[in-house]
Amino acid sequence: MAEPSTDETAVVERARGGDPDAFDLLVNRHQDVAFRVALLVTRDADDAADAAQSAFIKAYRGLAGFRSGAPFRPWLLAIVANEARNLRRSAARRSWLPLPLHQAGDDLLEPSPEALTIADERRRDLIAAIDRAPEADRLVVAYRYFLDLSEAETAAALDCPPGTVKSRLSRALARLRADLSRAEVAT
Amino acid sequence: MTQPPRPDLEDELLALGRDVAYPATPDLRRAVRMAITRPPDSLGARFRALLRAPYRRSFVFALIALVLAAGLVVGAAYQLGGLRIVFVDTLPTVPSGTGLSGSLGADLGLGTKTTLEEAVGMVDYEVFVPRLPALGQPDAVFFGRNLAGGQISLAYGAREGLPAPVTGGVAILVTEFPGGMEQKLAQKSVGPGTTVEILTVNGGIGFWIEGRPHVIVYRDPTGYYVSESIRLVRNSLAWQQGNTVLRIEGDLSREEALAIAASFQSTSAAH
Repeated sequence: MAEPSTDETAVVERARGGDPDAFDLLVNRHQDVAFRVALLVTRDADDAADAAQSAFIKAYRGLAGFRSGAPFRPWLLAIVANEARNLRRSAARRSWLPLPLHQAGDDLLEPSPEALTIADERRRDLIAAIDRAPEADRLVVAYRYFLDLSEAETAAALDCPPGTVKSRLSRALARLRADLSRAEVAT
Repeated sequence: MTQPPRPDLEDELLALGRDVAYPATPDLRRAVRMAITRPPDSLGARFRALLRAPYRRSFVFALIALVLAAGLVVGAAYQLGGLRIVFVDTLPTVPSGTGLSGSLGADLGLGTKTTLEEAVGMVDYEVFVPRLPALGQPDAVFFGRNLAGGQISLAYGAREGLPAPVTGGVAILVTEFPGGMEQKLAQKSVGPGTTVEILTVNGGIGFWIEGRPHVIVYRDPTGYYVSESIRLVRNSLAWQQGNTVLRIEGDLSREEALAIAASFQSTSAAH
């Protein structure tokens, strides 16, 4: 038996034709990014899993409306982000990026205690600055720098025109820089 | 200590992004597969169908009134805390028995008959047992692997002071399975004609379900939604205690079920 094509367009077409095995492939391929996009919105792993799961189910049922030949991931991430926004509960009470970070300086060869302290301080400052930033800034920064989403994918997840991602990101970075500078002056 | 100049912000963000240890992505394939291979039957469609029938409409309004009267917040999609109430017209099939037919509880599909000690040794979650004198020791203990993390069932037969046996000689059935704080008891399906009351039981959220048969749908430790039917086709009390989800079934009143629930103690505390 010939191996089915793993080319994304072909797989999407098979899924659109009602082939659940093909959709399995898509879930397997994209569940990591879907979960993380949802996690950045909900800030809760359980809610993120719910949102991602629900988004995949909606995506399958909405495949009839998917434009043939278009990239699947941005379309999916738009659904994921929407589900995550709808599901988000008590997010305001949760801290930003409540995720364990590897120790700063892990990649240094025998870093000095001073270097580790500085790296840790800067990292804490940066996380705090992101924490203080408006949600729109946090998400555009996280999608682009943490998840390495493309502009089209970021736009889909933010539900904004692709042409505005660059300007949004630029403004978010400017605000972060200003905030970090103010924090440094204050200390 | 003189600090060197701050590196470029974009480089810092990229480095930060590389160092985030995200929680492990749950494997969604099975749950998605199950959902997409069954006929579409959305909650909204079911709710609308429910409202089309006048006698059901009155039931729905009565349920909503009950919930609101209890001071509970009903969100979109009928979310009550971590649990969602889903109305179903047809209940899923109860699994068939796997035990030796004829013995107490053997036909209820509870798994393999064992002892309480053995069952407790086979699971990672905390197991609780009722200490109500009228109940005494369970007449049969079952361990099943049809739920992730394992399910322990305690079956109590006829006794003085207990309601009459309902199914398979069992008067009261206690079922336990893992469902920790981060593995929220997520969903419960109840049929038309069933009322649900939200309670606090032993410090955890609890649900008294009275009326017709219902199914508990919860999130197992692997992240999948799993349906788990009641066995005695009677009222039940389900609640979360620590990292364990517990359920009492039987021909019990709310007060009787709560009295039994209040007597539960951890098996680890008993030793």
